[in-house]
Amino acid sequence: MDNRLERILPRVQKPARYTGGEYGAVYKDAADVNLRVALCFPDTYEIGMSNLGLRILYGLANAMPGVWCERVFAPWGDMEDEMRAAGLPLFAIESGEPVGAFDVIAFSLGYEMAYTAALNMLNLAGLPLRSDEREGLTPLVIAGGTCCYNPEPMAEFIDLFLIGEGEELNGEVYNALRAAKAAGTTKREFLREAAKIPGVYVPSLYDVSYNDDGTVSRVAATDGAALPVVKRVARDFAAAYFPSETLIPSTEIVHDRVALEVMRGCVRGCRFCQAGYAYRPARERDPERLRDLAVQALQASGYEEVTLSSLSTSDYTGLLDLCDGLLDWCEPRRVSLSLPSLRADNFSIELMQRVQRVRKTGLTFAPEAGSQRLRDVINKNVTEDDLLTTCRTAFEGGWGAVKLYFMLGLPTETDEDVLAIAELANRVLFTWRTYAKNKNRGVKITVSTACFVPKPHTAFQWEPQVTEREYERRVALLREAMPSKSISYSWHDAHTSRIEAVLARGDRRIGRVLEEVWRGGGRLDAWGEYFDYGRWLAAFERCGIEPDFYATREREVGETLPWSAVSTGVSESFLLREREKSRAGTVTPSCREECSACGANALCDGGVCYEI
Amino acid sequence: MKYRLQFRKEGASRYISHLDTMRTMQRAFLRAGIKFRHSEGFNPHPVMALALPLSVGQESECELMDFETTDAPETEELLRRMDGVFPRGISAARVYVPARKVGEIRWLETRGLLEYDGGVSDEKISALNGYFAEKSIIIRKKTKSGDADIDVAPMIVGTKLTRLDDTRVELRSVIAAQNPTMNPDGFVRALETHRAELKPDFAVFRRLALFDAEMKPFE
Repeated sequence: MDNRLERILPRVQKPARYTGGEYGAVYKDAADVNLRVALCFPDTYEIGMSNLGLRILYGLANAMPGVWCERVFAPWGDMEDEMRAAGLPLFAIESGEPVGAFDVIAFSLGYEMAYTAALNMLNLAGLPLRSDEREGLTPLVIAGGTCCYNPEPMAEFIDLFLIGEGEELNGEVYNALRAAKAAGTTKREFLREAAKIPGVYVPSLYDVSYNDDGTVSRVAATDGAALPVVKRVARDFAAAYFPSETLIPSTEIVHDRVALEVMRGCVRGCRFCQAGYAYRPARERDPERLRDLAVQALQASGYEEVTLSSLSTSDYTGLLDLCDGLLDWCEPRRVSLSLPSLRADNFSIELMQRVQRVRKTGLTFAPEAGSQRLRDVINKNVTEDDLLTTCRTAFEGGWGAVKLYFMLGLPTETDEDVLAIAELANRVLFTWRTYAKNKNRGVKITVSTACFVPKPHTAFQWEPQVTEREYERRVALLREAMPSKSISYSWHDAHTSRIEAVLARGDRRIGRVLEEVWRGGGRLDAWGEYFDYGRWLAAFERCGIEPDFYATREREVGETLPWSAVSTGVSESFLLREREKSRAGTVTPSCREECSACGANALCDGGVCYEI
Repeated sequence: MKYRLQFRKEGASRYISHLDTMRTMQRAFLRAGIKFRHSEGFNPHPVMALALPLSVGQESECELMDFETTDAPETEELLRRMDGVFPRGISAARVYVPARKVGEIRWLETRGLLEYDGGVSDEKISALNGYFAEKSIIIRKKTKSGDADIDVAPMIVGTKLTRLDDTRVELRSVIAAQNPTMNPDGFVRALETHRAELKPDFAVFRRLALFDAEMKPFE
């Protein structure tokens, strides 16, 4: 261990986050490998280690002969201060070696508010932030993850973006870089070559021009780069690698359990949901394989909890079979099974009773909107009857806690829609009063609202965000409508949502703002302790950028959107059809009921996603 | 069946806190296929206990963990299963059926590595040896009712400091392990309070051996 690090560790909170050595961590002899990869997560260890994608990419990269892939997380403030004071550069936690000397620095960008953390990590590594200021071929700074469906805000900093799923794509880029290193290729030549790999977006190969009104006029590809770059999907998700033998942290993390990915993508088509569009087509794994993977993962890890993970687990067709098979194994071994992100409309009594056999966790639903009208607008096909029936079953079964998640500021929302949230919460309370088996323990209904952030590649990508004042007015309206002590209300901060909206649909000019925020001290903006709204406003001001241009402006149909060089495989005409249907309050059936011809089927070998 | 594991905790694993070590050992045992006996009651938990909590950052060659299993495998078999299930730095040394309670541990041998960036002179070594030979060694301890001065001299049985090289000094001592407990950090804290010029720039301690009240090796 580096002597500087050894002296710092006793003074910082939770030092085990910075030392590596966990069970399952991969150690190779640096002399035996010819490609060093630093998988960088721009958030803390506890958050990053809870990310399943990181474990998949870590496992796959380390399975490649000659590649050693290590992890790097953002240091917490106390650690960063100590590192800077000691002159200790950002290091990978396995080898402890400085990240600046690696061949690949690969960022996982899953949340816009982590952009400043990524910049700070580059700086801590001793590297220039901007791609054009890093002249050598290595370290090559790449990025992937859901945020990269709009790579533009980070385009000045990242050499190369990986669009879509990394199962095969990451390895292809590693191999290309390895070959380029051996051949002594320049960075510019390498980037031109790498751009030929499907799914690779090299921002420096695209020229962006602007209209007088500030909108993008044209995105032009140079050097024969693809336009658009279409996202990659894992060749065969059902059979794809699952990290059943993975890292087991020696200190507590956020999701400290086996996360079994049962399905990728979602069949529902909620019109606000970027993941729902970006991960199309929906693909499932076979319940028998999943059961085996879960048992392997539980035995290999020593975890005593397994959770079924996907965008909408209750839509997984093999759910009952899988739960049965798993519970038979789990129950005698005191292993608990949890099912997050369940939809109210098909959370069956049967399933609930089975999960209840091991542990009774709280119920969580996300109706997203209070009125049926608005739920139809967003295509969240949950009815109040479904929700109340499920709550009734749950209350009869002894549950006493329900969490309800909503968004405020959805397109077409009126005060009636806002108040309908309170009515719905009151009906849940009434249902408890009518049906609860044991009323002595009381009921806890938690209503949470977030401010709607329109995201790229969704049916709402053209929509304005409501202003902060308007969001706050709606919060106050809702708060007054829910006076009951059994209902508690919490809401997201308007400032963060506004910044998120700017970054989510930002163009390349936003890069200057990010740099300015970082220069002003922005580090871990995803954390309330570190987020400083004034710092962001000052940065906008200094860069001559009007945040409302990005947040609250409705885009004209036909406007060149900044992310138009990237495609999720879902066609813009489909998104426009969905937008029109949303305005008419017409719902779109799930992919299983009827194919809506979104275009994503072309990403997989087969013709249609579901035989109907 | 009741067993005792003696294990080493060194390198990166010395930063795993006491609570995290418990969790880590539980998971490692499950990976090893060792069947913990669980407590009875509303919230059953595996029956296991770590003797003498070790401070974060300190190493040990003699950590003890008592545990109970629902079956009765041979101790060699248990040790064999523990191979390769721990994080780096933790390794099983022995598994045996305990004859004595860990409450009988009274003393432990510790080794400190003291680093002086400005160098170590012979005078400094003799000053250090002289100071730790004094009849009372007072350290200031934070308690619930404010700071209190505690004399740790009765908790120390002979301290010897030797120079290892230009910048490093080895401290060896036998100190009270429990009832009362002396944390080896007390050596540094005492210097900090009374002899700041002798305070090392960095120190790390390592637990070497455990003894009972008669100073006989405990196992």
